[in-house]
Amino acid sequence: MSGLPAGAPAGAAALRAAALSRVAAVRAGLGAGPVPRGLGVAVVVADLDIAAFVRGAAQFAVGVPADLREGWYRTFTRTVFLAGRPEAVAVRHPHRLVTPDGNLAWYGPAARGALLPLSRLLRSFQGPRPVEVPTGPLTVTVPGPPSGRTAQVSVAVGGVSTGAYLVHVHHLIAEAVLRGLVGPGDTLRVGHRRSLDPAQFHDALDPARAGAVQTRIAGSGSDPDRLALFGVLTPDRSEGDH
Amino acid sequence: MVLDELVVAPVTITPTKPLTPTHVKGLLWTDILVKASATAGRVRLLWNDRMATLTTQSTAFWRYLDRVEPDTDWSLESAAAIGERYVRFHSEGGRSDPRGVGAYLERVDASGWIHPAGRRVLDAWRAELDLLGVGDLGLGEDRPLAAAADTTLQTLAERGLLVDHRRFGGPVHLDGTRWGLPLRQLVGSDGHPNYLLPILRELIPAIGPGRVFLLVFDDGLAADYLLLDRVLTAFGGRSVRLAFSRVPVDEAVRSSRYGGWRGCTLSDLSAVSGSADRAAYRLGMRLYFTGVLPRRSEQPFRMPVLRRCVGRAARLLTRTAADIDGGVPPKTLARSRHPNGFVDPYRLTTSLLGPPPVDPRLLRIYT
Repeated sequence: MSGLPAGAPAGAAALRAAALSRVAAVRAGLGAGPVPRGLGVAVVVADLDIAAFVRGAAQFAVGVPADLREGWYRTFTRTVFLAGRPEAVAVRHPHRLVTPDGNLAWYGPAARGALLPLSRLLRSFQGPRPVEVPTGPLTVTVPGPPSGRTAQVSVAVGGVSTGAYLVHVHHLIAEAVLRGLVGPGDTLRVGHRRSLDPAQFHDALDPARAGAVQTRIAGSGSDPDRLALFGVLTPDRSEGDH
Repeated sequence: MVLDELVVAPVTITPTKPLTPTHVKGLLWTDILVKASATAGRVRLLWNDRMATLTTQSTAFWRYLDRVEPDTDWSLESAAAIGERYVRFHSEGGRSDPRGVGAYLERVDASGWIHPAGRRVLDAWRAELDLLGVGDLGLGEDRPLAAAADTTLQTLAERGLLVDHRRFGGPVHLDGTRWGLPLRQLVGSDGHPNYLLPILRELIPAIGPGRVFLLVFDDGLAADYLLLDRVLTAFGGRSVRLAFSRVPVDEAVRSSRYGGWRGCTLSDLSAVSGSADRAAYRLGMRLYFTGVLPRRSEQPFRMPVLRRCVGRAARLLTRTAADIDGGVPPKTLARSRHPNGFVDPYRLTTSLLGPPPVDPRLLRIYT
């Protein structure tokens, strides 16, 4: 195939196939009902604690009302990240969820126009510096009665900016929740690595398994035309099913 | 309102260009306001050149000059010639390498360094302002800002007025969203503060009981000054805002970074007095800029009207009795008082435009 870098044709092809299967899945939607209009979400960021962010993303997605899930899913869980202090905008813009430290808040899903006043009041989050993540493994529990289920979450952070990290992880978690791969009371075991080698995630990238795995594949930071694997979420099959 | 002390914070002007009619209007308004209000209460002008030199507007230009003209002897250049380079700099994008600009900003902050081109412009201004009779206001003072940048940012953060994303390589925003005002960047992703931070560094420490800030500003900056007003209030300060519209030259309302001031700089205007003496020039300029031009109207600059004002000033002065010491006559003062306590120069000046004779005590302020 033309356009693929030499030396990694197998990995590149696998990424491309997995990315295409995700696009097909999103176009097919979650259910059989009518296609609703596209909805977006805004996240206001005052400061960033990685565990609080992962937990908040899952909790928010779990709490999205049933009638709004499809509309958000079909926009590929479109989300804008805004710099701001949730507390300062709370009176005019009530959030759906705020983290206990008050530094992150979620708004929507809503039609673009409904989130516009908030976007105008705040500014886009800018975080060009490489993301700082906890050195050890991170265990995050999604709020809810303990389910006994776990999922492994692998995230690439080498050369990933803070801004890009928010985007990658939010899509990964939110889509996994909307698709039912993660639910209330689940435990997420988050491992941050320099990079995720497609060869090591051969199973996860197999389109035949796409229904049971969530991946995050996007253009790499240095070369937007070259796909890279930024996140993989795999529920532990041994611990039950959704 | 009973004022213990009025602290007048005028528009800051970067020493990168000659003074234009817009600047002259603001300076003359400030001059009359301070001098007239001082006859009836405590007034202080808060001026610090550092508020204008410690900005990227100044330092990015200076960095550019050092790159394109490293060997120019700036003491031999006129303010207008330096201003032409400022316009060229902006027409070429108005950007300099961030690291170079950062080093210049540090130098200004640490030692009050001013580029030789900036010094030359300030010297030229001083001579013109002396001639205009505003040289004694305290313009040209330069001292370290009252608080360090980090101290001020810390103070703002403690009040919940800051969104600080420097740790992510992002900007620092001033957060007035609780008042419905949008986030306003204070420090860019490149680490460079904009013009608001030096103002906050100077004003927040100056807040005190019984003190009212009079914030004088160009009305293109109204949103920034509304935010500034709210922030000062959050720290227990009181302030009054006084917006000025620009004075268009050749029908164009533009920031001075685009030039268009040819023939209308303060040094050009000082030639308008012709055979009239210095007192007539000073009075005539004040009649025009504070009595004919309304504060908030964008009436264009008209040289013939200014000339007529200088002529009228000369006649007024010859018909006025000998100089009498004393403040503004109490009746005139009462009529000219703004509801917020200061003397409104427009009202005071228009009292001079009536039929003569004019109270000589009033003229002292104008000459």
